[in-house]
Amino acid sequence: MLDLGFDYASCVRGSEKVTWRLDEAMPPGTVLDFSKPFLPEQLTLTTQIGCLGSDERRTLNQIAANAYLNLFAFVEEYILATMAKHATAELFGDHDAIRALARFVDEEVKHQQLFARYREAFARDAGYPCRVLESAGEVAQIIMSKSAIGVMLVTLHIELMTQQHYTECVRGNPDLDPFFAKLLHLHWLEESQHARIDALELDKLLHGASPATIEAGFDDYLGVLDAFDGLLAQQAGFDIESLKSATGRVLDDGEREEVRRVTHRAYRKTFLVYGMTNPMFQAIAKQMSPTKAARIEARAEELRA
Amino acid sequence: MSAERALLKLRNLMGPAKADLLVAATKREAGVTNLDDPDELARFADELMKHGGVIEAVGRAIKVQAILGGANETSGTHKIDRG
Repeated sequence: MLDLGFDYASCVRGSEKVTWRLDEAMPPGTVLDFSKPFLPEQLTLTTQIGCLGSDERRTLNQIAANAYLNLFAFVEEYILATMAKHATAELFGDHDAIRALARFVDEEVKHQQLFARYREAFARDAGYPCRVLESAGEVAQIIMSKSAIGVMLVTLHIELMTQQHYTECVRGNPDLDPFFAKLLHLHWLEESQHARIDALELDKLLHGASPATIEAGFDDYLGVLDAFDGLLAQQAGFDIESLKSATGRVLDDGEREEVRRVTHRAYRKTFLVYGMTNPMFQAIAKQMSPTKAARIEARAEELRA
Repeated sequence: MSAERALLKLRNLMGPAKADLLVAATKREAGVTNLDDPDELARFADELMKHGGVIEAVGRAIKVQAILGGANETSGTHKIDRG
């Protein structure tokens, strides 16, 4: 059904070409340098927070970066389980598909380990407690209770959004901490294959699916994004607590609301709007249902406000 | 398409001739005719799983494939989580 210019074999070749080892990416005991921002301004919007000074903005940026990796580890929990299931469905069948899916699963676990290692270093070196969402299993359970097409749309959204973060905001950005930028580069390299595999798996699910099933998949996708937005709002609140722990600064009600509003908007842009408006995601959504693709664009516009 | 992917697994495992015989017998025993229908594919998979051993493993893979394709979770007798 989908017009895709790649197959499982090309995904395996791509994966073999770019693969990296965890201990080379981040040797155990790596000490973090907190002198530069970790995430690009486009993903944190901290310069829009007038009540914070430049050091406080950099600290908030680093707090958001820690949450960013945690949120990826969060969603990769369900992606891992989902793709393991898709690999099981291919057993004894198409060997290229099995290899592509098995490598996908291995790489996702590796990313989780990398992010966990980074977050341990952050907790050790930052010098202040940094609160993040902790219920990854519950979120995985909610997402995986949705239809297979809905789950795969969410997964495709996430993988494509990751690529866009790197290619549009991180690559060649001289203002960022080089080590954090390197982690995002390594993540992007493997996620590029994952997005293609998601599209191939989605294509498989669409064969024989009725228009009603496809529409229901989109409804599930949008429902998951709304639930995820609630988590992002919660994380924005945690970031304010962490900023207070880091700087000792007590914000008044107006300042607190300003930080909360901008931080939540930044998370929405980063995790929701980028994926919903990604050109490849939109192209695939339009092939599946032009009406639902338009609804996604309209929802993205609301979230951008 | 679902049927092709399912049957490929059996053909890879036991060769086309034996696989086709097993498929025909299993369809008869499961009372199904259209393996492109996810619910029928799930019942076909359940029937395969009764064989035990590697055929059971193929049946399990086909059952997961059927559920991902939209089969009702209560189709057949072996319950496998959707995802």
